[in-house]
Amino acid sequence: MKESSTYKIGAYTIVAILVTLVGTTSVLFTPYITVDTARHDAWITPFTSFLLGLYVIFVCCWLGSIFPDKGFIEYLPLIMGKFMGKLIGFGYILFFLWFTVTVLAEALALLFGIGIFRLTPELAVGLLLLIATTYAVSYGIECISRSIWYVWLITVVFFAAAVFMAAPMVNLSILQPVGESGLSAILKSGLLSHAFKGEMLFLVILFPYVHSRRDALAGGIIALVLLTIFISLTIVLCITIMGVETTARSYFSIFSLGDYLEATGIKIVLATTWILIFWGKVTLGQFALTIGLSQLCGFNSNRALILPVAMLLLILSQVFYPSATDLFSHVGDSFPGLALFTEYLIPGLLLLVAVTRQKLGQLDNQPQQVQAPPASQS
Amino acid sequence: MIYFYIVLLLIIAFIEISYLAHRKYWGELFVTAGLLLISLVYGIAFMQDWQLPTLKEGVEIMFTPVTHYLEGLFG
Repeated sequence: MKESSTYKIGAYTIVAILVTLVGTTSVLFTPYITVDTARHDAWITPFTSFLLGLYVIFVCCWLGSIFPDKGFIEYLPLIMGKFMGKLIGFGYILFFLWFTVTVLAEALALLFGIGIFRLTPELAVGLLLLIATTYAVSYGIECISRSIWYVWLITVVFFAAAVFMAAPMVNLSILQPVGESGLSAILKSGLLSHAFKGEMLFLVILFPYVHSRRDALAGGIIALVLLTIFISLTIVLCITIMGVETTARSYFSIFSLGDYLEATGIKIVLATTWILIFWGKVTLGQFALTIGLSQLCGFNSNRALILPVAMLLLILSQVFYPSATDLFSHVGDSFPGLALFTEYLIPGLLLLVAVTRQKLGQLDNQPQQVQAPPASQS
Repeated sequence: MIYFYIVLLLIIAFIEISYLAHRKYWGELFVTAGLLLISLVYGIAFMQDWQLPTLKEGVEIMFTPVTHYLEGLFG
């Protein structure tokens, strides 16, 4: 197994990675969550989380550019001191663990919820998915980013095909009168949407592999704009074709949309798309967890941790969430609160401390000089 | 299926631990053994239908009140 340390990601790949990472769950679950509260105005909700998403991107890029050669968990002790840095790092490892287990459970809930699998044990399907993700994690960021780039191309084509098939059935008059639900209902419905957008935090994990700060910033902003459009468009399609009540009752609204379309095979196209992008999201979560744990423990290589982490994720996805109802209720109740701290407040605080200590000249962020071997004397 | 999981876990544990012990990577060995042990304990608990405390409960206890507070802000 090789680790690619010289491979650098460009802005286009960052767009593909972030849209895959955030879009997988937010496009799938945001219609169901937001329509329940904001009714026919739910399509406005994704725009309310745009500025906060932008804040996360700026914080991640700024933090990353202060420590260009170090990973996120590695530079926490440099900002907060050894004890506090390790403690916050451990907290983030637990967050990545919770995140990846939850995404894996969501993928399984989708596969069983839309009826692709009925009799196959969940553990067997989870094992197959994890074999594919573990293979990518073992080959490092180059393999992950190149694979996600192809997955992203297929996803965009399939998603566009679904939108074009749905377009003739759209009845925009359902969206009127605009703003009837009121601002507070729209903002309240956006709490989980904010949590999903905060997943842009993964940019801080990817930053050491990115070509330049400009690439990371441009990629992040383009991804945020695309995500806001994709999520809002999905909500518009769901509301205007299925109606508010049906959308608010359906966990997987975009799949329920397939029942209303005349085109045959649309559900297969959507299911294929979501299997591909769930693979991407689980892979990124597993990569962040494995590499973060390796950095926390100060290991030179993460090779030894890849299989144990995969086995832990597999069993916890079964233990954490005995049913899909339990999963969705837990995510809705806990993720916005968790995201407020891990995705918004703590990174902002870390940046504040890092910049202050940099101004005071107390930050040891210079890359270590590698001593050249002495010239051989002849 | 859970029996298959536990057998697979034991095979991985044997291969990983013997490899790391042979190379004398004690730090990696300690962390790997810890992760595999946690997986084994939860695997057996899942098989026996035992209810062990998990990270999920911790997240619920700490952050559900925060979510409810945020919801309360918007009425």
